[in-house]
Order: sequence, then structure tokens, then C-alpha cells
Amino acid sequence: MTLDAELAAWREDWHSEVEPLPDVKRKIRQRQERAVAAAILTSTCVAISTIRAFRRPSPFISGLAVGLWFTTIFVGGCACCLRRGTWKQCARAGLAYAELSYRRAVAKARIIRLSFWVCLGTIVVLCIAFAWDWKHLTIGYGMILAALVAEAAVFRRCGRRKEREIAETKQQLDNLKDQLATGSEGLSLS
Amino acid sequence: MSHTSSTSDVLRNAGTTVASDASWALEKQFDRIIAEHSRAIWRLACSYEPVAGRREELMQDIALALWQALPHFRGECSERTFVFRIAHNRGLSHIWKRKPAHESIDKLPERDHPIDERPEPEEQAAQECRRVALMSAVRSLPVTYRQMILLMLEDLSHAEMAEIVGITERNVAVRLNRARKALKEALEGQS
Repeated sequence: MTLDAELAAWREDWHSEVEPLPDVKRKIRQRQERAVAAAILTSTCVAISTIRAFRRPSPFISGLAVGLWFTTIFVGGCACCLRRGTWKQCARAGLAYAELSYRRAVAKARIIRLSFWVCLGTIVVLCIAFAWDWKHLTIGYGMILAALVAEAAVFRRCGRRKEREIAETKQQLDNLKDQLATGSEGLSLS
Repeated sequence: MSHTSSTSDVLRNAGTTVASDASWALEKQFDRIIAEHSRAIWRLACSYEPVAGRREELMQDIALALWQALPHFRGECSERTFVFRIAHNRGLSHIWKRKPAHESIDKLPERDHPIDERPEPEEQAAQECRRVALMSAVRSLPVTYRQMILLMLEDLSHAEMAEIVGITERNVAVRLNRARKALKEALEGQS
């Protein structure tokens, strides 16, 4: 068998698969819905707390509204700063893509870490506020506090997973760099 | 005053129409790309991920990456090169993020339709066995060889391969030669 006939046979076998294809737009729809839901949820929380602060001004409610505005703007601004240099499209080749992946993973890990500490800070502030005046601790605010604790736990878990991803991406990046430097096909990328 | 407001309304409407037209055109382009390349993307996903459930996730990730990158596509390379580069990059990310498999790795693809729906069922069955063996051999290759073999099997030119992988055409020829040898050895090792 000549090489070309061998290649032709491989190509014929390769293209012979007839497995049914999945719906490829599911994740795109999910991502769009999630982005809209997050925007609506954040806007609703900020709007309700602001309206309540204006209608029934009290130190607690005003503090909550200011805190929500501050957190939204601060975390959003920090996320934009941390993601600088990672906005590029992913249609890059080889080493450039590996470097971009590494920068993205590092930026995401920093955002998660920041969100965790902001969440923890908010919990501490709320606990101090409730300790100062227990009459504000209604079921609603108790649920908000519980949600914040759960969110902090989720951020912690995501942070650990992201650290593992950073280590893996760094290792692959170093492997790629070594391959390019030595010109070898050592290929430990499997 | 009314003239100013009507002008601004017209401008706003025109802006909205242009934006919706652009998004509609983008969606059409995406649908066309998916229709043209979905089989190739699926084969690529199969070669990067042996577990059936995760393979579909990888396919979804590739589609999402294409959707996000499409507005930035300026036609500097061919559409096929663009699609394959994104698909390969996403495959690499998938490998880097991969958790250890808890599911059993499927040696044979799951089928919910009879194998002999086309003429000559024996020949079809034999070809299916060869395809599974080829896929298994491709999966056993290191990633950089696997990339070259996938692109070769999808009938891409050396220039396109060089653009996708980010190496020179000369390096493509060298790496392809080694990859073919490795694939041959892997196939012989199976039989």
C-alpha cells in the first residue's frame, strides 16, 4: 500500500461516522440567559435597597444601599482592571493561545479571590450591624446573610479549582516553551 | 424642538435597525458555519474526549467559543482555518481543565440506530470497526501529533495547518511525517 492510498483509506474511515449530532446552541442560550438573569438580579437588589433607603431612611437601610452600590461598582471595576489583556479573541495559535489561557486563568482566580474577600467583609459588617441592633434581624435579612455565607463557600471552592487550573496551564505553557526552545517533539502534552 | 426630537428618533431607530441587522447577520453566519463544519467539529471533539457525556460538553464549548469569537473575525484567514483553530484551542483547554474520568471510557460508540440502515451491512460494520480503531489510535497520540493527524484527516493544506498550529510549513511537514509514523505504530499495536 502506498502512503497516499493509506491516507485515502484513513480519510474514508474517518469520515464514515454517522453519530447523531447534539444541539450545539444549548450552552450559548444558557450563557445569554445567565448574563441577563445576573444583570436583572443585581439591578433589582440595588434598585429595591435604594428605593427603600429613600422611602424609609434609617442608618441600617441607608448603609445597606450604599454598601450594595459600592460593592457593585468596586467589584465590577476591579474585575475590568484584572481582566485587562485577557479580552483578546481565542482564535490564536500555539504558544500565544497557551499564554492567553494562562493570563485568563490568573485573572479569573484573582476575581474569585477578590469576590470571596468582599463577601467575607460584607458578612462581618452585617454581623456587626445585627449585633449592634438585633431588631433589624428579620427573616429576610437572615436569608440574605445565609445566602452570603453560601456564596463565600462557593467562591472558596471555585478559587481552589481555579488554582489547580492555573498550575496545569502553567505546566503546559512551560512544556510548549521547552518544545519551541529545543525544537524537539518531546510532546508531554497528552 | 419637535424637529430635533424627530431627528433623534430617526437616528435612534436607524441605530437599532443597524444593530439588529448586524446581530441577525452574525447569527446567520454562525448557523452556516455550524451547518458546514459541525461534523468536523464533532470528530475533533471525539478525538479530544473519549467519554460520551463530556464530549457533548466539549462540542458545546467549541460552539460557544465560535459564537464569542465570530464578531472579531476579520477575514484575515479562511473561515475553515478560523473554525479549526478555535476548535483545537478549545480542545487543548478541555484537556488542561479535565478532571479524572469517573465514567468508563467507551470503546465503541453508542448507537440508537441499526448499523445496516445503508446497503452492504457487512462492509459498513467492517468500516465502523476500522473507524473506531482509527479514532482510538488518534486518541492515544500526544496532543501535538494528534492535532496534525486531525487536520490531515480533515484534508487541510500544509499552509492551513501552519496557520492553525502556529508553526512554519516546513515544521508542519516534519511534524506530520512523525505523526503519521506514530499513528501507524499505534494502529499496528492495536491489531
